[in-house]
Amino acid sequence: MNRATQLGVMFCALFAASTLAQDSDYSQASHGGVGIFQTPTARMAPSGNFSLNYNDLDEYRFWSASIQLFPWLETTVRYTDVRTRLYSPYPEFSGDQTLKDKGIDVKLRLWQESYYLPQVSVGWRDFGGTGFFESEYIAASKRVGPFDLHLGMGWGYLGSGGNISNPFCELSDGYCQRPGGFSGRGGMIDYQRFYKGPASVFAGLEYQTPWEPLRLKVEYEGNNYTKDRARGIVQDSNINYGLVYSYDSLDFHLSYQRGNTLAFGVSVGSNFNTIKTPKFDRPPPEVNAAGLSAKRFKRSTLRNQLYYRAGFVTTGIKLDGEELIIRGQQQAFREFDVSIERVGRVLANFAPDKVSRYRIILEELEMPITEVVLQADEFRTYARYESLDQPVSSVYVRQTPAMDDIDWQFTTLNHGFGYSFEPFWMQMLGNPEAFFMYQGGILSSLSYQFSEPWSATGVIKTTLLENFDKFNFKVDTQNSTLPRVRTFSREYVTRSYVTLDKLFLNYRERLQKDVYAQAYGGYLETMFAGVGGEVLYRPLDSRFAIGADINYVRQRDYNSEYKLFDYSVVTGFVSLYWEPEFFDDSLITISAGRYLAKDVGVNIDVGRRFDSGIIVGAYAALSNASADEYGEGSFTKGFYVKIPFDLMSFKSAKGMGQIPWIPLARDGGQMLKRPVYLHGVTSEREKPRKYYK
Amino acid sequence: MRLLKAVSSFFIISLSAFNSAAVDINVDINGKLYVFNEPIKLADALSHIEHPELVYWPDAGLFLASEQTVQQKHALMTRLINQLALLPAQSSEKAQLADFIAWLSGIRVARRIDLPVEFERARHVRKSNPLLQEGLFYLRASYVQPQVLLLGAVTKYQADISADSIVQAHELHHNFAADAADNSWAYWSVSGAEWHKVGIAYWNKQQVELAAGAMLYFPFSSSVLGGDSEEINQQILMLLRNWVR
Repeated sequence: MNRATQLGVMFCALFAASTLAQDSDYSQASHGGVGIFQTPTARMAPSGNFSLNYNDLDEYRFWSASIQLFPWLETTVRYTDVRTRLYSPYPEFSGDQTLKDKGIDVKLRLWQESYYLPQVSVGWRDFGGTGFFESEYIAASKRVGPFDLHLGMGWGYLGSGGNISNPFCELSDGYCQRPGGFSGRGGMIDYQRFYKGPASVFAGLEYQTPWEPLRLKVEYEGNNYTKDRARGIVQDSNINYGLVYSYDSLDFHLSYQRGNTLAFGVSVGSNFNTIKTPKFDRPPPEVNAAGLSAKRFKRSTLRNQLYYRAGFVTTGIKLDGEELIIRGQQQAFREFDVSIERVGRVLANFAPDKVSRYRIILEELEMPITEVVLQADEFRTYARYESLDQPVSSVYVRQTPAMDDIDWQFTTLNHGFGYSFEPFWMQMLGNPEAFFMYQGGILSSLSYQFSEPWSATGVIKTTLLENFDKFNFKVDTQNSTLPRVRTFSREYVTRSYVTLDKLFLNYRERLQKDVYAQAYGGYLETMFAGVGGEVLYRPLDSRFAIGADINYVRQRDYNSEYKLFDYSVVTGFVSLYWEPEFFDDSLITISAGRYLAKDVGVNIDVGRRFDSGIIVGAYAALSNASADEYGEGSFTKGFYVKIPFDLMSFKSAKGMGQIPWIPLARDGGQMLKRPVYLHGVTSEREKPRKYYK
Repeated sequence: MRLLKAVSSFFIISLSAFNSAAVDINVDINGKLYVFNEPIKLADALSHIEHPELVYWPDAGLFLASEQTVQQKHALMTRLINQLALLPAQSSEKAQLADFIAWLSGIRVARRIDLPVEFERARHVRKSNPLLQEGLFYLRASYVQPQVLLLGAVTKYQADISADSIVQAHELHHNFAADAADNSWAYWSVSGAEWHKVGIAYWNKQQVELAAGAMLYFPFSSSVLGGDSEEINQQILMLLRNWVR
């Protein structure tokens, strides 16, 4: 079942905040991704470009999202509505809904255009699964003034017209026929079919008119529509032509395809590297020539100023001779240097003048994560612009906080209640009952801090709007040999309008300078309850971290807020976190261990962070559960977009919301959703990041 | 008398010692050297410029004398001279690279202070009004010149243009690029602080309009600078950033 939990409003905000027009050089094809109409080109959008596209071609409607992850890598996900066929022949199952199909495309740039050579890219369209439009291609593009010329060769759907002989067929007979069907239970990459069967050349021409918003396009395609899933498509011509009109961040497409079909579409674009929201923060305070006299120094004033002018919640202050130590949490400014500069400016104005050194200990969940040391005179010179063009990082030293206990002279209460509210949004695409199903509401969190290392947290989920009443089945009818650890998800989300999502105790501690640990127990997530623990080794500013978690959990009863089913499992993973130098701003997480359904395997997660802080990632779980045991989809895989709250607010903010897209989730390769992840908690240990480089 | 001499000697020595501890701030403002006895704010230094209302402020810059920057220039020149030796004698590319090296040897470089220099801004924005302390500073703020400066692999070092007109970057490349120039790309700048890559060939032409006072650098091609041409051209641009005109 497709399950996607997210804060839906973020998606709208993403485009509302966009200030960038679409790049007029390149436009999206009907299937999504840079191209003409039916055919792709070798062109790539600028790095970080994101397009949401809708195209209507009579028999088909395409919804797609295309992201330029790297300058050399374009990825596209797509849902296709086949309007000439029903979702299933069973009205009691899917009503009169038409057939839906999802697909994923990838395009890789092999080399860039130069004076004599064209740009060349290779791509795979709709690979894996049932692959209505499964194709492989190579394409070349060369620009001459306002004209962009394209030539390509395709196999599969793009080459089904067979207007040339397949060159690989000349080398081996095995390439002359394209095998049918799909491996496993769908959802796998059927590379054994690649470059086999009929092949076609395709070509295109784009013309940038003197009127900048208007672009004309024409293509010669190599597809033969007789085998299309839509059935009965008549092709009167191989030539398609049309235009693209750009207005702000919108591209409007109008085309005449197959010699008989008028098609139209719209793309809305943004760029994850440059997307930005104007900020109306109070300016950083100007720094006085001197701090306060010892007599005028007040810790409460300092604490208040740190909160209001620097977004820093102070939990401890110690004045020790010429050294002032503060500890706390930055809650407003996500960029490390901005945070330190603001805190430093407040300290320079409100700390006693005799202090020569400030130590700022940054905490998360009451654990010291990193420490910054500022020499008071040096910082004052910097902050009063008496030094030349130095970044703030030149006047501070980042270090690992010492393990020694500090005898704080001022602390906030180390016990008490805390609460928070945040919206949630859950959506499912491509369901038999309705294409788009949703549920939204509020997650209300109440926590109690017993003493520094202990806390209790409860989260109540309140549903405010949904259309889950359209569900006409809960558990699917597939025979599952694996324990049903996730396929009861419809039962859980429809249990009640108000449900207990989590209720757990948490203990955490820094064991060594670079080692953090936590233990937890209770209702840990929507579907499981139990106990567990995690240890993380994460040196300061390192590209590597390693952690391990172990949990004993039982499945929660979806008929009750508190009861448990009999099914229990010991699950846990050893995880390696790696930010490789050769992939800019990427985090690779490799976790090996035992999943909830007792299958054993490796989970690989790759996340790419853009200059705005948006993270786009994908993961796959490869376990010893076979494709047959797993069921439809063959293995667990998914995608996500994490959006900083800072992009959705006119005030600076920390934190992120996540929009997942899980094509099909079943029971194999499923990890426990632990309530707290130490790698996230210790994120200030990564090298300070500069946004919008 | 001896005692008086000894006492006066003591005071003279003390005074000279005190004086030597005081710092002289040297600021070369458009070629004229000013010496200040104490650190001076940029806005105060700018007040020595005559007719600030006529200055082309986007082109203005502040530099600090730096041995490191001079060494970078020497290292780059050595690298270019080594590359020159690899080129065939009598070739036009060799002559063009030699011309550029000769031009480079004659320019003054100093570390550019990463700061927009503007008369009113310095007076009203604290961040744009740093304190100039120890060292020799070069402050450049001149009137707009009726030309676009051409640098690198060029046949001419300036293209005359009236103050109220514009010229396309690719046209300048077409008219003034030397044989040694890269045939696809150029770099333009207003102040020299930031350089922007621009396509100028049939396949990547961008409409970049340059006004009087701008600069255009034509990079040397890989046939002149070899496989490291990209890196060397970037080093040249870094040096041009620190060029005190």
